[in-house]
Amino acid sequence: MTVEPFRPAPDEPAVRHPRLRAMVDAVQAEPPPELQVDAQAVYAGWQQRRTGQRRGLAVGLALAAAVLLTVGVLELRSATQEPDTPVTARTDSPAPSAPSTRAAAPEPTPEVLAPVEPTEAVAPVLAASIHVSPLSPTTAVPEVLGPRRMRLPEGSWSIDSEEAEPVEVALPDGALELRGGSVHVQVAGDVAHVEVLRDEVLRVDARGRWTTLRTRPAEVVAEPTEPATGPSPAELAREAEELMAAGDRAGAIRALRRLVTRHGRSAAAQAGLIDLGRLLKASGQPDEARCAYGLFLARWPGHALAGDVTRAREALGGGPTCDGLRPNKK
Amino acid sequence: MTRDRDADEDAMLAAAQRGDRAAQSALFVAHKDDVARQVYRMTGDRSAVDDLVQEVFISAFSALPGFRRDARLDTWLYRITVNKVRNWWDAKRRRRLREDRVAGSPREPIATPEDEADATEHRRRLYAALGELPDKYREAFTARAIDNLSLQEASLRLGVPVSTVSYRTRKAEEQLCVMLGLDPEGAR
Repeated sequence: MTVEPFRPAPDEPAVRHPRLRAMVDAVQAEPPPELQVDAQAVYAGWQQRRTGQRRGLAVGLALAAAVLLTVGVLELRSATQEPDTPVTARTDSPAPSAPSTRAAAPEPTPEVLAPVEPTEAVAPVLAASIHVSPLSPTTAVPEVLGPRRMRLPEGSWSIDSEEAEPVEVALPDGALELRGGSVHVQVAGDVAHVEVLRDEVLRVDARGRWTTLRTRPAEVVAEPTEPATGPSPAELAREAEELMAAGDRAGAIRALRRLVTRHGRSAAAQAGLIDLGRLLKASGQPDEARCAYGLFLARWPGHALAGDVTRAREALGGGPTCDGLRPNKK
Repeated sequence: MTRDRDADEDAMLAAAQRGDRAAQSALFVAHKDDVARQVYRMTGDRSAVDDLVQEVFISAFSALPGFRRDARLDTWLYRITVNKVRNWWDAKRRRRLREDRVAGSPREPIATPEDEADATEHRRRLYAALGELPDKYREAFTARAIDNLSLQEASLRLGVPVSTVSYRTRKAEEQLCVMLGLDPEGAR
């Protein structure tokens, strides 16, 4: 069977079905809402992100410098760029202390890193909330494609993202998307193996199909805990998730309550509050569910899911006012 | 006259690339309504617009030093918007899946009797169905059908060939018809 090459007519209609056309017309007729966000808010957000990026860049530069020093690239580069420099000074001398090197050198050694000024950074830098480290010795470094995008080279890597905002990781056989999770990734040839340590991640294969990868129960036990401060938000979220999966609704509600009260501003609490609302509603506690949704809206009024949460709360109808998660019952 | 305006825009863009606050503010003011309209048409969710518009411009200003002007600024912003909205749909879809799993109840069907549906209901059902489409189909359909872009303009903005835009739009329509309970023959 052969496939005919597809040649669209330049004036082909975008929508053919009359009823679908009517729906599209209804969408087009609706004007967008009046924008509340202003240039000042955008500028403040941009500055905040830039500060994080610069911090990440500084850390990256420090790491890069350490790697360069370790492998002796500095000496090699200075030899090729400065033919007059005696080779013995590079290779044969024992490592002198910094002051003696400066005193002995006829000319100051050029600052190899000098052209890379953090203030004029053009190359993308990973956001400070994303931590990437090799799990095995390697000189390869991930390719940073943007503040929240990277491509992993061969090797084993640990990636940890503290924020719910998505982080995209390009792999030889697809991509990975983290939202506040932690993973180990092993890249070997054209294949990547992914192990989820915290939360869940989205795995997109080369054909664009996606699956959600979650923590295995055994790995949960192996993960380090924080005995001094109690369970972390991710641990509580995971506990709730496991209880939900096991059908223990009451247990999941308890875990989620702990999550949203102890770590109220965490990324996990955002999802936790919505889950809590759903579970409370499903367990016949509409007032409590309304309070959970209300708390979400109070904490994150501009959240992308605020519309959905508002609708979910409205669907529950009226009820008593709330004191946090607790309805004020007379 | 046009040349002067282009020169002004170039100067403003260059200043914004250096991080000049006034220039960034001017860029925001010049493009915010277009971005807001795109976001709203791509999501159908009024409550998402402010958040996403802010995200788009923060990302744009962060990436502005690397903007090489090989695309128009509005095209560049459109692509950033598409990416942000794609993330938003992903989050929404995953949230819904999780909610379904937690609640243990099936989702409300999209295909309900549509003869008496009013405009609000039309919008709700269409966006519910759009949310079920693969990203690429949804983006092509939104660009062509909802944003009313020509094949060429949609191709430019989405960065894919014209034939691909056409194919994806057709596939999107086919799938939407199925999800919305419309006779797919009506789309032929």
